[in-house]
Amino acid sequence: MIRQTSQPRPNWQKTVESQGMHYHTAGGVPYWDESACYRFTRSEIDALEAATYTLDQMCLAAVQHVLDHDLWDRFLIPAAYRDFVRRSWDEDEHTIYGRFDLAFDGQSPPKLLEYNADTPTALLESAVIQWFWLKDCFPGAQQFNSIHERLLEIFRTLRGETGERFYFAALAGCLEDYMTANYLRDVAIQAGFDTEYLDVEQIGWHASRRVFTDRRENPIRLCFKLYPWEWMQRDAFGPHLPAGGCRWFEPPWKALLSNKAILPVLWELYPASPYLLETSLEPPAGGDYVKKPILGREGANIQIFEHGKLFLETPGPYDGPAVYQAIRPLPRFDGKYFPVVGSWIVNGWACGIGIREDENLITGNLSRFVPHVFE
Amino acid sequence: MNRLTRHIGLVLISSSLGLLGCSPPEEPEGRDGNDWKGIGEADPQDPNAQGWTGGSTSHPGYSGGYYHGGRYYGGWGAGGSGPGSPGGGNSGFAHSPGGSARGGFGGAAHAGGS
Repeated sequence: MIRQTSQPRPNWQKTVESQGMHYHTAGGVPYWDESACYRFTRSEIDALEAATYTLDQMCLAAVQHVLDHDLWDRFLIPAAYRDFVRRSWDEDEHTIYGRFDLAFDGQSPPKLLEYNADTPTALLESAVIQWFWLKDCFPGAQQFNSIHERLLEIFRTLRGETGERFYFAALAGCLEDYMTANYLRDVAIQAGFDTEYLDVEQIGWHASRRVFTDRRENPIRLCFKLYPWEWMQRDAFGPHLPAGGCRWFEPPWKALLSNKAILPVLWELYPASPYLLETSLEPPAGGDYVKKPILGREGANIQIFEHGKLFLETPGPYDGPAVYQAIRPLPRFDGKYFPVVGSWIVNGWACGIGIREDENLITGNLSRFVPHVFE
Repeated sequence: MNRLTRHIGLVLISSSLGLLGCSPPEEPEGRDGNDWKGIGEADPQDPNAQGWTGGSTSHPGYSGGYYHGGRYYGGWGAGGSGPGSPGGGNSGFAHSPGGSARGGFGGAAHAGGS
């Protein structure tokens, strides 16, 4: 695994815009950064693929463990939603996608930092933008990337189960979220669905009909929401979720996996796994750990402690219970770049990666997306 | 190995994204929750009538501070029924002519302002 500089394509901004990516630059600084790429060997890609499959299986077992042992309180799942979550699991409701964030240096096994199981973004970049970049810049090289094909498979499976109109919803005002939802909507259209986008805020609740509704009062029976379960549960319409008659994606049981409280459960179940970092609900002895709020997002409110003293932290609004994860410093490339490998699991398939890098040890929403190749 | 081949013509993605109108969304005026149109009333030239909604032309997640979805996240427990009481009552919501209450999702993200 090496980082190498790469010549950006002339007028690359227009190129990626033509492929749907309009959030390529922020404050004059590229978010999509093709001035460099990461180059992997085939065996390194094999290692990432194997780790992703194993982590996925461990996570599914961890969900069953949580349900079997009623560990709801650890996850801050309100009592009113526990049967809702359990039912979705017992009925094997399909998942579409998730992204494991891994620390990987190409040498030792990938280590799970966290699992974005509910509302992962950087999907269009991973599935589409970096693929076209590869074809333009390194046409003879390979890329670990069949994300789009796997997405199409799961939407075709779903289309075989239902002909309901498929709604796609995201928070108003965020272009990245909007494009992520509309990319998935695009795939759903290709799979044969009738679709519609609406903002999360536009979802209605019809009290007498007991259904969620679109802007024309049609019932919403099938909906992908790029909006976290823990927020839905605490929003005003949350109490309508269990009996609202809508099939949501990601399914309700993903609320357990997107919650960082799953990390100590994984460690309890699989302490010998090469892919896990020791994680607990209390600060470990020795004082070296990373503190992460269990309902935190996008690298906010992360604190790194060394010998019990705060070494580095990121700002943010999250408080409440946290987990304490062993420190695994990210590998450093070219003296200053710290990459995190986001490994995608779609419908149970490990099918691609996307890399975010930063000059900071903590990857946040300012971190750049850098494409990759392998040979 | 699944990663080695891509059978799909990916040009379909960009063309279908184009059909979906996936370019920087523009914030329509008057989207205050009271501008809902009934069935048959929507202007076919109105992008909102075809599922085209909100957004801004810059990347709101990169203008500093912590955001999700372009909004400061004000912490959980701040649903539309008031902080700490996601009770689910309908009072205080915008209602569309068809009778549905609106705005009952998105409250947590709205709580911190945008």
